[in-house]
Amino acid sequence: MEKVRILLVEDDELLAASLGRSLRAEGYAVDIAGDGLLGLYLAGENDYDAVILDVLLPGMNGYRLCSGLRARGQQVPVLMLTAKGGVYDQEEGLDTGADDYLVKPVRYPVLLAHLRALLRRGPARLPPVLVHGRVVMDPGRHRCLSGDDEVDLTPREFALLRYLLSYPGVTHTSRELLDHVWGEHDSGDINVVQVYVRALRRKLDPPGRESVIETIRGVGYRLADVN
Amino acid sequence: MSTNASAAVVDTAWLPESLLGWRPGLRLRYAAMATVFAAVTFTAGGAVALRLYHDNLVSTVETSVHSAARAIAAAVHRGPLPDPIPMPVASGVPRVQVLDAAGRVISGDPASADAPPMTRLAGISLNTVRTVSEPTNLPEHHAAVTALLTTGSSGPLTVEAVGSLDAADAKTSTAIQLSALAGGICLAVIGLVAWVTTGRTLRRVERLRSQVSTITATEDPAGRVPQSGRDELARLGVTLNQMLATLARSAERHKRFAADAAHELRTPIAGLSAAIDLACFHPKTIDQATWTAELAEGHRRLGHLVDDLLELASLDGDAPKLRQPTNLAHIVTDGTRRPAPPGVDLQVGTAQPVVVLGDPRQLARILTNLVDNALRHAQRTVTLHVIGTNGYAVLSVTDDGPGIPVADRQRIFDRFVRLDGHRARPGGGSGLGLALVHDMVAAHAGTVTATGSASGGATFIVRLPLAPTPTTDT
Repeated sequence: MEKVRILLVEDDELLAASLGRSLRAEGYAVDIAGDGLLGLYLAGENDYDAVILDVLLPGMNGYRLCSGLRARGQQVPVLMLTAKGGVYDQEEGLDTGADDYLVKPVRYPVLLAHLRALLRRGPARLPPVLVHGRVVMDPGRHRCLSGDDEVDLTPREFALLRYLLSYPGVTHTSRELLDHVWGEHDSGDINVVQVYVRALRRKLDPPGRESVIETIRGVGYRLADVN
Repeated sequence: MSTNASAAVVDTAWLPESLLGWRPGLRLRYAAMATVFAAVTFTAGGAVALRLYHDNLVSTVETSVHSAARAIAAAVHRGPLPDPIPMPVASGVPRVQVLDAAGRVISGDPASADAPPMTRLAGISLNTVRTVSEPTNLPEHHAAVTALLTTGSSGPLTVEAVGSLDAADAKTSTAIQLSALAGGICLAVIGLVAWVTTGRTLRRVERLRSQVSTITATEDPAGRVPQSGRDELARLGVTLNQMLATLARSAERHKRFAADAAHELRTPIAGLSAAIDLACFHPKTIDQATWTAELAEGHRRLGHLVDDLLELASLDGDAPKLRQPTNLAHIVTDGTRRPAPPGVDLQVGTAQPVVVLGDPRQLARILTNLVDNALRHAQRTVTLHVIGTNGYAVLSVTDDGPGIPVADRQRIFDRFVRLDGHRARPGGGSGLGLALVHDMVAAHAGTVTATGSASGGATFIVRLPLAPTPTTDT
């Protein structure tokens, strides 16, 4: 059976060497990059099953490396392993596309367990920034663009659009949207979905163009195909 | 029964503690001070003015008494004595009597000619006017009297004149009452104005205080007091804001430093803990000697980092405690007696014997850190120079490495700054070496700058003030 291949991007030599050897002893194939640029290069050249990524790196920091990977469409699971333990550091790490975040020093069995869990889940289904045609949504920053224009959405409109963007090509019934976006406790009049879809179209669609959200008669709504 | 004094002592016991320790506030104190000052001024000024007023009234009466007496005396001397005597001045004031040697009234003004002798003026000097209070045989309370001796047809005569001062006293008394009333009103107005204006001023002070207090309570680093106007209090507000901004910047710097320090400490600890975990979980994979060496190296770096952190914390803006004349040439000579990495030559160019005042250990540390940094980046040579010029000792450390980009030449002295690529080099520093140099040089009242060298490498230049008196080196 082929070995699980892991890229370890870490500039601290002792940590990189020790962790690399430990992981190899566990049966993983491990490549080590001592700086960010080399890490990004290796991640593009080889097909890794997971990346263990430090944040403060020479050349290019871990956040930029991670968003660089995601921008290239690479959804390889990324585990950030860093000494930066602040709330905003962790938030930023996960929002730039990391799948897990551990603060150094971490005990080895814990790191292994997180790595195994990451490998079970496999590549992420969605990138950190959702793009569909001219609509770009960054849930981490709570921003939405239509073309180059910033779109100001209410929290409910945002949630509805995010749900639709999360399932491109899937047709949703109004009932399903009501359940998933409004939630069980808040699901009242089903016509509210229609009202919000209309609001989203008004904000997102340039005049005279086809709508981003298609109505499927008798069924519900879905994102229009991007040509 | 207790005495009054002891009763007073006992009686204070029921007073609430707050009242016993009560000190009047600034507002009350200023209003009271203004009022008391005005009261003293008014009283003194008023007393002088009223006194002058009264004296003037008295002197008018005295003059009329005296001139009346003299006119009568002259008339008596010239001819037969009229009876009653026609008064040369307004009737009634003053009153006049002419007495013979036996003291009988032989004539007088119409009101007094038939009256008993007005006064016995024995004892008063002739030709003088004096005032008497409560005379026994006059109706007045207060009067000016005079007596003149003259000779008439029937022998020696005495002319006596009396002028009442009661009217003058009454006028003065009224003036005193009116002045007191006016003064009282003025004092009340002054007290009120002082109370109101101090109140207004103090209200602004109190507002400032409560705003600062809120900022203190919330520890809001962005908290500032509103600024308006250009008076002293507005300037106090500006100063307070400057202080708050400085504190916020300093707090921010400390916070960032603490976060950076935590990060920098965690990194080598993480390395050590990974090495230990490797030995625990996969003991067969390690070679004892290599592993121990790695662990020792990680331990050494952690130790260095902690030393540097402690050094920085102990420096923090303080001037060196030790200030002894130190020859930089000796420091440089000592500083180059160290192993350089293979292929790199550590050499001394000019080494003038320049003497600065300072802590020799810190001065040596400045050089060591600069040389450490230079050796990490040098291709082949690191050169040291020490010269004295224009009252400054100039120490330079030059390497022929890749140099420092102009944009980073200031930043490189910040704590935990490693320019890209530096950490990849073996034996990368703690990230505090140049920060320590900067702080130590600053503590010695000097400057340190990074520039480019002729070979494209980096040059660090330290300027320290020379010791004030040119001492022969020991």
